[in-house]
Amino acid sequence: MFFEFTHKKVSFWLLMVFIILVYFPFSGNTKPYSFNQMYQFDFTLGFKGSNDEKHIIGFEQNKSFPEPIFKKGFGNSKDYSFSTTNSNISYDNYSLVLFGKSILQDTVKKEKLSEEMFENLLEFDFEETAKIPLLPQNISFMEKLLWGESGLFRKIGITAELTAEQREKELGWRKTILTLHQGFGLLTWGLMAGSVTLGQLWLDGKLDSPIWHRRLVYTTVGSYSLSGLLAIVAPPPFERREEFSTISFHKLAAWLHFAGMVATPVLGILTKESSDYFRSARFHQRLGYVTFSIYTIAMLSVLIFS
Amino acid sequence: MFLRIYFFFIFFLYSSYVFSQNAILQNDKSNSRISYELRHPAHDVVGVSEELEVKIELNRNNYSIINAIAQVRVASFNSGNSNRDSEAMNLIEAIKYPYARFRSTSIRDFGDTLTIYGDLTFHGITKNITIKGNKKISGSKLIISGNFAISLDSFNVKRPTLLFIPSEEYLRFSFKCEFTIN
Repeated sequence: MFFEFTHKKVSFWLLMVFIILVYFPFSGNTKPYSFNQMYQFDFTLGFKGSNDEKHIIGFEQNKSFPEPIFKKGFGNSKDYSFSTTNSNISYDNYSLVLFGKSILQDTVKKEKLSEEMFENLLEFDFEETAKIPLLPQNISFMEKLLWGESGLFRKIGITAELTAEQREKELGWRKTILTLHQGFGLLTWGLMAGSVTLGQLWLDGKLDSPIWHRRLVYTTVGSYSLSGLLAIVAPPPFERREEFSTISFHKLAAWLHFAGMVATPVLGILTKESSDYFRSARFHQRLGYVTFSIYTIAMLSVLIFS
Repeated sequence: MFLRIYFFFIFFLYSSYVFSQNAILQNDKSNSRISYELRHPAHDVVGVSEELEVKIELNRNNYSIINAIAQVRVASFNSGNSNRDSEAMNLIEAIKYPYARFRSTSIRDFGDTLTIYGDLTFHGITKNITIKGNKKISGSKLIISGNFAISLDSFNVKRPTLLFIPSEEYLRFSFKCEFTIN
């Protein structure tokens, strides 16, 4: 007899009751919801599931109705309209039923539902840890020589062994060094403008002596060299891709104004001893203007367009 | 008889379990991207990453999104100027905090639009954010796009400066990710 109590039948039905109580509430999208008749909220409901089986997935306090939850053309959904007061909800002609319990006379406590309904257990299969290369792939020869894993600065004790912490410090130094490079670069531009102006005034016969032009040129060359040296010894950046950017342009222009900065003073010295003074001076003057122009463009390319 | 009922019930339970389960989908990275826009009075900067990883929990019945997580390697953003990107990496301490991660806490899925609430961890700080998104299903492809903004100040990130003028406080993100529905 089926209704005869045996240990097998009892354990079977106990198992069934256990599964129904434990399994169903947690299966699929459906999770146990809490209803509490003490709370009176205005709320918006969101739904999942087919028309025959509605499950509340979310609500928001103090939202006015009607508000479309699903729009047309999405699965079984269609435009929904609500008419409701705090304790009377109807959706088309469907009762809002969950686990056989009507919520028509119930309201929902937001905080508790939110926690239970949106528990996020997703994880990435493999969460990478900090495996970022400490030095850029396209490290320059000078950077490698000075700041590489076995670079000169590590050997002579200016910096320590290459670690993540040390590299962070070096990136901080890089910022300071490049700020100084920028500062000396701006100072150099001012000095260079002064040198060009005084040189022009000398050639125009408006100065008694070229001594202040020479003095300013020496200062310009000193400031320029210091600025350039700072750029050369700066630690490598975090990354350097193969691209042509404003920095690439700045560096390309640097080679050109460097050549100009070597040639112009040398031509200035040679002008003094030249048999055709004015011809040599004019050449020196033009080279000075070209160098100053390239230097200005190089500076602006970084200041404005970087 | 007893065994038949028993196995039928077990079969019924597991089949309902299998067919009612939500699908976990990983995005197709080659068709996904995230970009930021940083506005400055002199110059706006846009950086793009194609290393966006997203995982979603999808309701198979109505294709609504239940949960989502996302992560991106911060150094993967390319603004077209690696020197500028290096400077940005300094500011967000990319060696110490190499990833930005998001975990949804609740999602309001209206079919073709989404409002995603969740926690964003960036620069070692976790803040609650809201993402407004769109959802499109085209054949077996599910495409989610959206945007959100974060305050650099609230994530304790020093704002980059140009010509000694700091950038706008907000970093505006846009993303698009594509999934294949099995």
